[in-house]
Amino acid sequence: MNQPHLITELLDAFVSGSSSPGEDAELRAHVKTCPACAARLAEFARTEEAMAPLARTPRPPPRRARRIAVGVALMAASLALAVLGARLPRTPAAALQVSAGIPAVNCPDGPDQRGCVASALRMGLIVEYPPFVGGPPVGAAPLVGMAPLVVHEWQLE
Amino acid sequence: MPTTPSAARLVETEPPGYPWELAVAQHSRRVVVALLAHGAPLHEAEELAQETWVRLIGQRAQGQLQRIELPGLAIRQALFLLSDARKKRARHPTEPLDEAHGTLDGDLEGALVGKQQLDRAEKALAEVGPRAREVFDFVYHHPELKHEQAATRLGLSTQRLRQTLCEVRQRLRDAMKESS
Repeated sequence: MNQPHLITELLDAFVSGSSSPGEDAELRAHVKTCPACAARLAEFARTEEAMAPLARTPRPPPRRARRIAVGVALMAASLALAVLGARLPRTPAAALQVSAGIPAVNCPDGPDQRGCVASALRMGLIVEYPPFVGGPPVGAAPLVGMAPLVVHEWQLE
Repeated sequence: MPTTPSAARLVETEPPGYPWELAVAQHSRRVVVALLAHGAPLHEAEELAQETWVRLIGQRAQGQLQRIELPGLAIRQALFLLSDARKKRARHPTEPLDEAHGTLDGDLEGALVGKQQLDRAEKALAEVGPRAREVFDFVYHHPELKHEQAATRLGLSTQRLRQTLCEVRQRLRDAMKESS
């Protein structure tokens, strides 16, 4: 075959979801006619599938740094709550969490969900639930720049 | 052949309450990758991913889904559709089977990465540098973030973040290959 094979970076970008639409089109066209690259794509996908669970338990930062992170994040969270309180549904499910030092909220299903999400994003908070609405707007500075940390079960009520 | 409404059309007609558009945009690739990992060729994986969203949106509209956890729910639905498609093809083998795309005998377990491979990958991951590990953990722990956003949070350029991820993934692939 005269056609060069797909490069590793493109396969990697595709399975990680960071490829551009143009790169996606190039990859689709190529694997249709290249069994070797189709097989390689499958291999990359299998590795990607295996990797996700490996990374789901981020290492906690050192104890002292963790205390500082929790303290700062909880202070920020309290401030955010004072502003957001009126919009968040007052249910146990509306939990405030700390993820990567950035306060995060859960917005349960219901009529207030969109307002809750919009308010949280405006405040620069991470929305943990629904799980796909994203974090603070691009450019928002993290409150604490350190390794990911998750403090669960810190309920509003 | 009956046509099914596209996920995009269903998204438009879905009453407010669940942001499907965001869900589809964020998790579609993850669903496609899961299908690829289980041996589906790319064109089939993308078709099944589309069908997955159509079904989930329909089920939600009918009140059958009270809690939606993504991407897990979508991946389970997609793998069910893949298994179903394979069973149908096994009953009516009108299309030639492509060996490069795995067997069509419905044995999904056969396509999964073995425990030995996972152990090797875990060891390889433990050997990467602390900063690379931090980047890797952060990106996989926050799949909702685009690389640009993750890079901003970590104080890196997007290019540097992608390069780091690429290197870590390559090490894991090498480790998993060695054990297979």
